Formats: sequence, C-alpha cells, structure tokens
Amino acid sequence: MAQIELVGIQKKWGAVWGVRDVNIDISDEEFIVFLGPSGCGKTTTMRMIAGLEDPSEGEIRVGGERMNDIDARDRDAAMVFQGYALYPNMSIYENIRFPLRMRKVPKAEHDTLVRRAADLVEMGIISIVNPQLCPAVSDKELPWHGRSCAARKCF
Amino acid sequence: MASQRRKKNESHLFRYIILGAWALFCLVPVLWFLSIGLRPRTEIITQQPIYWPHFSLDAWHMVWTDWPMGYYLRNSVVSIIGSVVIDLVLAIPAAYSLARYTYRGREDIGFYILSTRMMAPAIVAIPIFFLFKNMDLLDTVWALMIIYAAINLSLITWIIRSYMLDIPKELEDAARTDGASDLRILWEIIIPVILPGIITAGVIGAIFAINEFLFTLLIASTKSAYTMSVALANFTGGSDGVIYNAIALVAFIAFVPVFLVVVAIQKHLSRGLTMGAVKG
Ligand SMILES: Nc1ncnc2c1ncn2[C@@H]1O[C@H](COP(=O)(O)OP(=O)(O)OP(=O)(O)O)[C@@H](O)[C@H]1O
Ligand SMILES: [Mg+2]
Repeated sequence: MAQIELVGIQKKWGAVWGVRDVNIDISDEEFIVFLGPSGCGKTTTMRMIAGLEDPSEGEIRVGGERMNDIDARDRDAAMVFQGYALYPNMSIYENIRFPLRMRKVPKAEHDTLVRRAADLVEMGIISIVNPQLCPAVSDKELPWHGRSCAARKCF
Repeated sequence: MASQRRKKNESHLFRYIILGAWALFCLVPVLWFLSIGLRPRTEIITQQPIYWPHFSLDAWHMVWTDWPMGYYLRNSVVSIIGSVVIDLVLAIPAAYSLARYTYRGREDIGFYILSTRMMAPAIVAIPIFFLFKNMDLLDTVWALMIIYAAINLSLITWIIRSYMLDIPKELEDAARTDGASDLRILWEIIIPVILPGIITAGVIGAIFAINEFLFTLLIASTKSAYTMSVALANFTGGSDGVIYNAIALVAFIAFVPVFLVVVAIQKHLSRGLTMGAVKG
C-alpha cells in the first residue's frame, strides 16, 4: 500500500472529456470510494492510476514518486475490472497464480500464496477442491467469478 | 392461440430435412467421383446406361504404380503444412499489431495487406517465375511453400486479426496490471483464447493451397515438385486418351486429406470464441 496523489488530472479523447481536473490525496491504507453517475469518469480515473490510460494533463504520484511515465506492468497496482476479466483459458487456480508467475515470485511459494489469497476472499474451498475449475465452465455469473478476480489482486 | 403452437420436434424435423438435403447435395459429386474411380474404364464412356456397374481396381493400381501418386501427395502435404506454419508465424504478430497498437498508417497498412489479395494472380505470374528461376528454386517444394505462404498470408492475417478484435480489451488490461509484457500477453492469453480461430485460419489457408493451380503449374514443371492439383491436370494428356477413372480417383484421393483435417478439428471450428471471458 502507498499514498496516492492525483494533481490536476485531466483526460480528453479528442473533444470528449473523460475526466476533468481531479485532485485527490489518498493517504496510505485509506479506504476510498468513487461515487457518481454513469460516465462521470470513475473507471477512467482508476485506469489512469493503474497506468492503463495516460492522463492528458496532470500528475499521478504514488508514495511521492511521479508515475506518469511508468508502464502499467511495473506499477504494481491491483485493479478488479468491471467485467472481471478472468482469463478463460486458465483454471481459477491458474488465474490467481498468474501475477505471481509474471512477477517472478519463486515457484515454491506459489501454492501457499494462492491458497492464502483464495482464503482472503472466502473461496478457498473452490480453488483447492477443484484446481482445474475454469471460468469458462459456465456462461452464468457465479459468485466465485468476482471473488477469484479479487483474489488475483491479493498479493 | 393454442392451435397455432407447434411442437418443438416438428421444427427440428424440418431442419433435419433441409440440412440433410444440403448435405446430400454436397456429397453427391464426391461419391460420384469415387464411383467413377472404382469402375472399369470401358464402362465410363458408353452410350448405354449401366444399371449394374462393375467394380474394378484398375484405376487404383494405375494411380499408385504407374504414377508416383504417393510422392505427389507428399509434395502437396509438405508444401501446404510448411506454408501454413510460415503464415501463422508471420500473421499472428502482424495481426496483433493491427488489432491492438495505435500508430500512424495502421489502417492503410492493414488495407494494403488485404489488397494484395485483390490482384489477379496472373499479373505476377511471369515475374514470379523468373524470381524463382534466379533463386534456383524451380521444381522444389520450398518454392511451393513460399508461394502458398505468400498467397495466403493476407487472408490469414485478416482472419486472425478479426478474432483478436473480439477479445475484450479488459482481458489484456488485467494481464498488464498483473505484470505481463506484450509478448507474454500474446503468448499466454491471446493465442490460447483465439486458438479455434487460429486453427480455422490455418485450415482455410490449407484448403486454398491445395486448390492452388496456376503458380504450382508454373513452378513445378517436372515431376519432382508435382502436387496433387498439377498431377491431376497432367492425367488428361495420356497417349491412350483421357483416363477418366484414374482422374476421378485421384480427385477423390486429393479430397481425403482435407476432409480428414476438417473432421479432426471440427470441434474447434465451431467453438465459441471468448468462451464467456467477460461477465457483467
Ligand atoms: N476510449 C474512450 N474514448 C472516448 N471516450 C471515452 C473512452 N473511454 C471512456 N470514454 C468516455 O469518458 C467518460 C467517462 O467514462 P468512464 O468509463 O470513466 O465512466 P464511469 O464513471 O466509469 O461510468 P460507469 O458508471 O458507467 O462505469 C464517458 O463519457 C465515456 O464515454
Ligand atoms: Mg465504469
């Protein structure tokens, strides 16, 4: 966790405003909620913090360090997507493990970490009893879809 | 209202009749060829209708002994598989770039790639002949491989691109925040997710390649690089007239590998694309 500052953040696509002049200071371990009507820029703001979108103007600081030019994959930000975005070609277990593999965490620690993350979102049973369980097995939205997506971000 | 409701099975029956008729319509020429191929030559060109056709393996023996049909089949298979592999290696990164990166001229480059398909192939036939002559590649399967790959590359790139465009962007964004590089995303997420599409593109390319005639004829001027399609054409000019039953049998044999491939991958051809990747 770290302190996040948004200073004069703006996002424009051509003539379309996505986000207009956002200034927030989120201190370490603070719990913050963005509330607003559809299309007001909540998702865009979070995407900019995660590094998936470049702000047209303004500065993003994490722990006092300027983040604007740092790639999303190096920001170590965790984001749960509106549509969950589970990888359909992998089991739930592999979905949760994916960031560990990408961040080169030693293999020996994977299993413990995956189980701990699954426990945190109270879906330990599913991922442990059936590690092959795949998000693609059902088209319906199931309780563990959101949870496994969250678990992936619990490291 | 009740009287207008139809039972479910009734509409199913109707569907079966239509599909069955269509299947039969497609199958008849194939079976017709097989039947010609397995009859004696004297029975094929005759004024009298034949009610009880005779069975004969003349053509079958002829095809495998008098001509090195196995060798031609091998040429076809090797050059086609090689070309599809080349195409996939080139098309997947190209399609990814066209589908996901934004850069100046992207649309133009994409259209340029597609437009190579619009030209009449005969226009480049002669230059290509000299090109391969100078490279000393005439009469080799390597030349066929390159030609087939070049012919199909644009189409395969576009098919794969359209599959990639259907992948929700969020999936890649999630992988990126998880710390994956572009190549990792391509290799671990995009390719597995669109595998059915990649296989479909490969099969379409293979079917185009096995039917390719003009360039094959141009490059394979001796028997060492004959493929099924060119070998077929050469049967028509025998010293003792057209050997219809052998031609028909070879046509059938040329059809079998394609048929087997399509049957083997049928499951993939029809599988849902993102398989419910994104909910909500
Ligand atoms: N890639 C884009 N190109 C152009 N305009 C965009 C793009 N992405 C978002 N927008 C616009 O930016 C504005 C903010 O969008 P955003 O998705 O951040 O809203 P939101 O607050 O998350 O809405 P919701 O509650 O519906 O999720 C919207 O008007 C949207 O149409
Ligand atoms: Mg939103």
